[in-house]
This record gives sequence, structure tokens and C-alpha cells, in this order.
Amino acid sequence: MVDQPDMSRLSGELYRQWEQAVGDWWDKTLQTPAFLNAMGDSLGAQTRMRRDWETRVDETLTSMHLPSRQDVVRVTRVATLLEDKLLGLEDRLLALEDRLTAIERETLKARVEAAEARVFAQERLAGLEAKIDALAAAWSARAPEDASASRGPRGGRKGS
Amino acid sequence: MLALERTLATARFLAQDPVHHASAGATPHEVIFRQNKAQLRYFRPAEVRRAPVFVCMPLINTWTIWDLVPDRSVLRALTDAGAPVYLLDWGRPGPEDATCSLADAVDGLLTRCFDRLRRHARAQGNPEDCDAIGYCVGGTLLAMHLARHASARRAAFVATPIDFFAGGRLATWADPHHFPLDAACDAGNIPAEQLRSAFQWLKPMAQSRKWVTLWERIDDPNYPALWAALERWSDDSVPFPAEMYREYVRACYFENRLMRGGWRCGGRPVDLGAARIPAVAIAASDDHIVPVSAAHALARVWGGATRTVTLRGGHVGICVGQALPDALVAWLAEIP
Repeated sequence: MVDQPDMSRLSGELYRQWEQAVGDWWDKTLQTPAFLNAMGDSLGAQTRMRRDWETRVDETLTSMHLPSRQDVVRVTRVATLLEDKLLGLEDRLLALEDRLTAIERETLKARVEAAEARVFAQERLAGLEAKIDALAAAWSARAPEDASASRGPRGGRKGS
Repeated sequence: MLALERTLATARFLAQDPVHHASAGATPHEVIFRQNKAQLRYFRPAEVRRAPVFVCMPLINTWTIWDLVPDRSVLRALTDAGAPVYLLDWGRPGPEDATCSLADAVDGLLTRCFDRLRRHARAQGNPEDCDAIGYCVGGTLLAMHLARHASARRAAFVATPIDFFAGGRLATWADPHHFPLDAACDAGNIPAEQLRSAFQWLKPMAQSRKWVTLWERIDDPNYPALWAALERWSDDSVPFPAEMYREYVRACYFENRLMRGGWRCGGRPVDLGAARIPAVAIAASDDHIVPVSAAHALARVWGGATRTVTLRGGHVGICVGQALPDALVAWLAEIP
């Protein structure tokens, strides 16, 4: 019995070999000076055609007093420049906003620090006042004893 | 599944126009700042457990690659880890943006985004010191910004090109002898179709491979929706502002100034060695746009402490795999 060839596998293999062979041919051809020159010439020709076509269309539209491509480009370019100026202004405004926010933050921080310093000073003052009051009270308490001690025994003067 | 069944299932799937109906960017968020077309998108976590993260997406294609489908979303993984995410979406430049310069992005827009991030975080009651993540070109611009401004405390760069001479096929193509940079930029913004076509040509076989992969995996319950979302995203390219492209390609691809020095952008030197914050350079092992050596070159020029990581996947593939979200969540957890 002879095995029948698997046709799908055979055709797949044939295709792969064809692809490999043509691919190798393209790999060589696409780097040859002849191809490179042809590609450059083709690109140059396409560019000239495109430029000529656009020029002719513009001339036709201009002769019909219709806006040409160049007119539209001019107007949109002005719009782009305006947008750029507006964005530049926006950049500056945002930078200004950043600075104002920083100043506000620093001002707020300074005010908080000042308030904290004031509270601290008030507490210290209160503490000092309390100490002074205590000293004054102690002094007042001692003063009548000293006065009675300096008067000596009743009716007599010291030293007489 | 037999081949015929597979073919019929694929045909039925494609008949529903899945690419048109695919949607991405479903993780809830709000826009907290706009400048021109750029938007800063805020993704709120259910519970804040990490410092805010600023994500700088690339200018090519849309930001939704990091939020493609709910179970393959890097942004969802970051918010689930408790990080408030602020993502910069560059938007879709119009012809009027052709004169925007790299300095406008690196020193202007990114500075404003970080400033608005800090204010928003403060208003939310969250810490203001943030981490930063950049992906692809977004990472390159982020690196240039962080080298000049102390906007973040550390950074992760995902598939971010630093050594452009190690940029593989793109580096070969972006050669001043073949590539008419000035002519292309003089004509205005680089069209989205041109960028898309260039990336498709980088890997021509990928255009046929994607159909075969869909056919092979049509019976996977999750793959077809992911395939459709990826297709939609890769079709949704975005124009590149002309002057930004001119300076970026000349300074990076033509002259490799991030490695060699001598680049002045906006009148000031570009020097990644001036950075002081730690960084991790995450590369994808099969990245054909930013090879591993191009991304890991950050370790040779970054001024802060650097380490390198390689994850399995391609340039876009790592964004929809599990390795990248896991790596970023682990990185976030290193410092609360």
C-alpha cells in the first residue's frame, strides 16, 4: 500500500518554500544600487507630481475667486499661532498661580507661627504674673510680722 | 479543519468587512490638554498604586496600537497595575503644520505636557513625580527632552532608535545619495500614503504572509479580530510634518548625530549624555525597523544608569503581545 501524500501539508510546504525563495530575492533586490536609485527617482517624481497638482488646483481655485489651499493654510497657521500665544499666556498665569499659592502657603505658615508664638508668650506672661502674685502675697504675709517685730514690747521704744 | 473549510471560513469572515468595523482605543480615558492637533489623554486606574506615567507615542500611525483590543492593551495593563497614564497623541498634522520644528515638539509641547500632567496629578491627589515611557520615534523625542529637562524620575524606551546607522534596511534607504529629502520636504508634509508604502516595502512578503496567517488561524477565537484591528491600524497612517521630518532624517538617519554628537536643535546642543535619570532600553528581537543594536545603543550614550532588555517579537508585534506589558508593569513596580 502506498501512502497518499497529504495534499494540504504538501501545498503548505510548497508555499513556504516559495515564500522563502521570493523573500530572499526581495532581500537582495531591495538593497541594490539600482533599486535605491529607482526608489529615489520614484519618490522625486511623486513629489514633483504632487507639487504640480497642488499648484494647479490652487491656481484654478484662485482664478475662480475661491479660497485656495494656501489661503486655508494661511488662516489655520494664524489660528495656530494665536493658540500658541494663548497657551503661553496660560503657562504664565499658571506659574503666577503657583507663586501666589506658595506665597499664600508661606503667609499662612507665618501667621500660624505668629499665633503660636503669641500663645506661648501669653502663657509665659501668665506664668510670670502668677509667680509675681505669689511673691507679692508672700511678701504681704511677711510684712505685718516684720512691722510687729520692729515695734518690740508694748509701750516701749527699742534702746531707750 | 480541512483546507476547504478553512478557506470558506476565511471568506465568510472577510465578507463581513471586519477591517472597516474594527475599532481600537476602547480603554476609557479623557483628554485633559490640547495643543493644536496634539492631545494628552488621561487613563484613570481603578485604584492608584503607582506614580503617574507619561507615554510618548510615535508620530507615525496612531496611538491605538497600544490599545488595540481589550485583552492586548498595554495601556490597560498599566492602569490595571495602578498607574495613572498620560498618553501624548500627536494627532493628524495638517498642511499648516509643515513648518513645525523638532524643537517645538521637544522643548515646547513635551514641556507643556509634563507641566499639565503634574497639575492634573496634583488636582487628583496623586503624586506629581512621574515616570516616562517612549515608543519608537516618540521615544527618540522623549530622550531628547529628558536629556534637557528633569521632567521624569526615570524612563523606559521601547523599540526606540538611537543608533540610526544600525537601522537595518531603513538606514540603507535613508542615504543622502538616493533619498531626495529636501525635495520631499519642500513639497509639504510627508503624505501618510508614502510612509505606509515605505513600511510595506520594507517587508514585501509580509503583505502575502498576513493573508496566509489569517487563513491558518481562522479557527482561533481571538486571532481574526486582532488581525482586523491590526489591518485597520496599519492602514491608518498619519502625515509627518515636513520640517520635523527634514531635521529628523538629516540629523538621525543621514548623520547619526545622537551617537556622534554635534547636533543643535532649537539653538541648544542635543546631548543624551546630559541625562541624569536611569533608563531601560527595551528592544524587540525581530524588529526590522529598529534592530536590537539600534535600540540598545542607548546604553552607550545615555548619561544616567542604563540597562537593556530584549523581548521576543517584531516592532509592532511586541505591542500586542504579553511580554511588553509584563516588562513595563515589572519596571513600574521597581519603584512605587
